Amino acid sequence: MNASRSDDPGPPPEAAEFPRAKVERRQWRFPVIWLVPVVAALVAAYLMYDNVREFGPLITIQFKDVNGLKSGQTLLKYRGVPIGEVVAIELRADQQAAVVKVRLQRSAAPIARKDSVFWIVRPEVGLNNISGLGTVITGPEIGVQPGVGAPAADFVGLDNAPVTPNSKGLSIVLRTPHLGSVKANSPVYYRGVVVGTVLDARLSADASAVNVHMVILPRYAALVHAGSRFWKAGGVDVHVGLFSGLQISVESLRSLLAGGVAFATPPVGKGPVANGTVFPLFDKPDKAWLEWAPHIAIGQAPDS
Amino acid sequence: MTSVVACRVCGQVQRVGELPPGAAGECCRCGARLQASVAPRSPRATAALSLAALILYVPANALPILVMDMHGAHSESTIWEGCRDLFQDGQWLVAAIVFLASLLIPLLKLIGLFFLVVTTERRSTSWQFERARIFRIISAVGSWAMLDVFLMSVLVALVKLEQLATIRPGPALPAFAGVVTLTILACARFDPALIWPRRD
Repeated sequence: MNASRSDDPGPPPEAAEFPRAKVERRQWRFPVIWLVPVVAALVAAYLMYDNVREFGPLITIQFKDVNGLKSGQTLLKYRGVPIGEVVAIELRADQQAAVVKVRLQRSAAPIARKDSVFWIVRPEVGLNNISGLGTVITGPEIGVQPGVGAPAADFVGLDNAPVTPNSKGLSIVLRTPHLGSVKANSPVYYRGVVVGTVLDARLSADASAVNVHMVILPRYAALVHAGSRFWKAGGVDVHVGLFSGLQISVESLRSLLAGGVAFATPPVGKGPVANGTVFPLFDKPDKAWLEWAPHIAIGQAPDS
Repeated sequence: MTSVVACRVCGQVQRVGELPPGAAGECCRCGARLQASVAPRSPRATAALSLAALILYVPANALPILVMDMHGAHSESTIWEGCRDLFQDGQWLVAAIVFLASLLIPLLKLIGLFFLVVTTERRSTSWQFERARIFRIISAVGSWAMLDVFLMSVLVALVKLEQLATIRPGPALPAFAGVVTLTILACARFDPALIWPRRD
């Protein structure tokens, strides 16, 4: 004990013999300690702001089936970039659809436009293509194809991914009396190169023929002229000739399995065609068509 | 009122007279500050540090503390969500520990510190023994409060399977570490002598 408090019995009798302590006047000091809560408030505000800063608009998408989607986990991706996250999934009031709420990132807000298309990416294994395999492990994700209309917040999602997620190409219709092996997603060949896709095939309005809708990639749209001839590339062509022996021609293994459409364009083109032009679809190519080799500039850009 | 005081540094025994507020006694031989002549530390520092801890308590609980990426699947959870998930998984013992260590105890510590500050500021003489005990408990608990931060550091170090799964600390973790550190500092700056004010 080095101090005697005032409530002690009082200073010892010899107190007067001790020297007197100096007295130091204390200066006014800045209360540095109160800077700590101020700094804490700044840090807290920054952390909160940083978390909220990325938040963009909340959009809702209606799907028939949202099996596998999880709130807080499923991502909305565009070109492989995560641009949003599912924050809630609920049943629509009439129980006929599921309503998925997606929080977009601020930078991706322009994605949500009136004609934007949303779909759920699931693993798909077909004859034509295997897609979305990554989602086997991660669970499904939501894909989007942004539109160009006015900003919107409520969407109705597609059941399946749109066939050509960049379908700016030339869409044409082929008419045939019998569909054969051509079906949706079948490839369209030009000189053996895939230049387009069959979107769907259905009966014409009067059931007298089958209309095959297909789209040619924009880069190859110039290949289709008014005089172009289309034929079914699926199946196997077997020729038995006296001198040529057995000849089997198949456009490709894929067309053998999935069916397909091939076309050729005459050297003297009649100019490009408009969207929705109708062509006849032949069962077999004419020998002459196969020798057509017109020079058509399609550019070099491998950009789709 | 004069008292006799020994200097802590050089041992010089000397008389200290009545000091004006804001002044301190200095040893007449070595110039060191005389401990007993200084009024007990005001609880101002404790109040400021507790307030800072309280401010950081908000982001510590509102923001995700754990960010998990499992092969593309992404998940963020706050302390409360993690606690709730653990409970729903049937891990109620772990859930209880996390709830106590991360939510309840920091909050109780803050409440206790504010209680001590307010009562000493008012020079209250009631509940003195209990307040002294509260102070001792808060000091003792301090070293255990970083449980979450320990846990996260271990998790982050262990679960780094790169492609498959990654666990990253969320923005709440530094805030939480701040809360714990500030409460420990606030507790250390509190002078328990304040609980026993001079009766003059």
